[in-house]
Amino acid sequence: MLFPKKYQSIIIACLLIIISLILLSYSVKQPSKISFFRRLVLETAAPLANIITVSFEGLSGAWKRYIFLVGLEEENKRLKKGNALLTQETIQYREGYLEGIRLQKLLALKEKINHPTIAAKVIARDQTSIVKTILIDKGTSHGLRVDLPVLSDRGVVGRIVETSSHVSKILLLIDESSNIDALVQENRIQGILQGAGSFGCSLKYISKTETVNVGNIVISSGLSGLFPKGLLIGSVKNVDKTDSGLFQKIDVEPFVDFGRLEEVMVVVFNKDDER
Amino acid sequence: MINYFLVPFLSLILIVIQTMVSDIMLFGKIGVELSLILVIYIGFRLDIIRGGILSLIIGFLHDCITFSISGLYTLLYVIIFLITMLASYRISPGKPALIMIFTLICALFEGMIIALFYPLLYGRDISPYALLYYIPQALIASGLSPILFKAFNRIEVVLNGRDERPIERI
Repeated sequence: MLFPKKYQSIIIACLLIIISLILLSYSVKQPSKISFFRRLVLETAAPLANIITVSFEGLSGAWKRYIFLVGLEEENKRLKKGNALLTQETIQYREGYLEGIRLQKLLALKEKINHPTIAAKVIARDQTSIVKTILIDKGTSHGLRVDLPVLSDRGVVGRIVETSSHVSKILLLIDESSNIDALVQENRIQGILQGAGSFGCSLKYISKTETVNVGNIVISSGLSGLFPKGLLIGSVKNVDKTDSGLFQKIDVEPFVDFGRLEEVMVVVFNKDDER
Repeated sequence: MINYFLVPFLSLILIVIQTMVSDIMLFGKIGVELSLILVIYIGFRLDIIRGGILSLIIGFLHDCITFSISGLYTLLYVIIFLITMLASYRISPGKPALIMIFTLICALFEGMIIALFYPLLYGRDISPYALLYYIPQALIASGLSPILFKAFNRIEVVLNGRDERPIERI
C-alpha cells in the first residue's frame, strides 16, 4: 500500500472531499457547461423517470379519484339530507298556503251569512260505511249543539248529529237518512233533498207537471228550521219523468266534494231567529 | 462484479422515485430524501473505499437528477457518509430509535449546509424557506429510516446472495 494503513482512512476521506470540492468549484465556475457524466446520467434517468411518472400518475390518479369519490359520497349524503329538509319545508309552506286559501274562502262565506259561525277542522271521516259522517274538532265547549248546519266554502255539508265536549259528528248531506227542505233556485219549486250515498242526492216530491232542468241550482229553503234559507246545495244532474208515479225523479249533485273536506264552518243557527 | 454497476443503477432508480414522490404525491412542497437514508445505511454497512465511492456516486446522481449545482450533494453525501462512519463505532444501527435520531440530525445538518451554501452560490438567502422545507423533510426521512434500513438490508442480502443478518459493518 502506498500509504501506511493507519492513515489510509483519513487519506481516502480527504480524497473524497477534495473530489467533491473540485466538482463543486468546477460547477460553480462554469454553471452552463453540462459535463459528459451529467448528460449520461440524465439520458439514463429520462426513460426511468418516464416509466415511474406514468406509474405514479396512475396511482396518483386512482388516489385522487378515490379521494374525490369519498368527498362526493359525503357531499351526496349532505345534499340528500338538505334536499329532504327543503322538500319537507316546501310541503309545509304549500300546506300553509293551501290552508290559507281554504280559510279565505270560508271567511268570505262567513261574511255572507248573517249568523255567528265557528270554524272547525275535519279530524276523521267515515264515508266507506253505510252511514256517511265526519268528525270535527269542535264540540259543546265551543258552543256547538245537535242539528246545527255545517257548511264549506262550496255549500252545505250536513248537520251535527252528535256532539261531545270537543268533538262533533256531522251527518253528511249524501247520507241516506239526511233530509233537507230545498228548492230549485230558478223556479222556486220546493222539494225534499234526500241523500243517495255515492250517487249524491235526489230531490223528491216534485210533481211531474213542474219543469226542472239539468243544471238548475238547488238551495236550502229554510222551511224545516234546520238550515238557514238560501244555502247552496248542488245542481240538478238528471231529471226523469218516465217513472209511473206522481213525482219526477231528480238527481242532484252536491257542490261539496266530501272526500276532500278539511275545514268546515258550523253556523250557530237558531230557527227562532230565522222566523 | 455486477453489483458495482447494479448498485449505482438502483441508486439512480431510488433518486428518480424520490423525485417523483416529492413532485407528484407531495406537489414538490416537501422532499422525501430516500437517498440520504441510503448514504447513512452505507455509512453503517460499508468500508470507507466502497462506501465513500458509492456516496460520491449517489451524491453526483442526485445533483444530476435534481439539477442542483454539481458537487453540492456530492460533497454533502460524502461528508454525511464520513460522519456516519465515525458514528457507527458508537451507535448500533440495529436500534430503530437511534437510527431515527441519527437520520434526523443528518437531515437537519444537510438542510443547514444547503441553507448556508445557497447565499454563497446564488446570492439569495433561503433560511426562512429552508426551515419550512427541511424540517418536515428531516422528520419524514427520520420516520422512514428504520423501514428503509430493513428494506436496504433485504436488497443487500438479495444482491450478495447471503442470509439476512443483523445490520453491522461488513
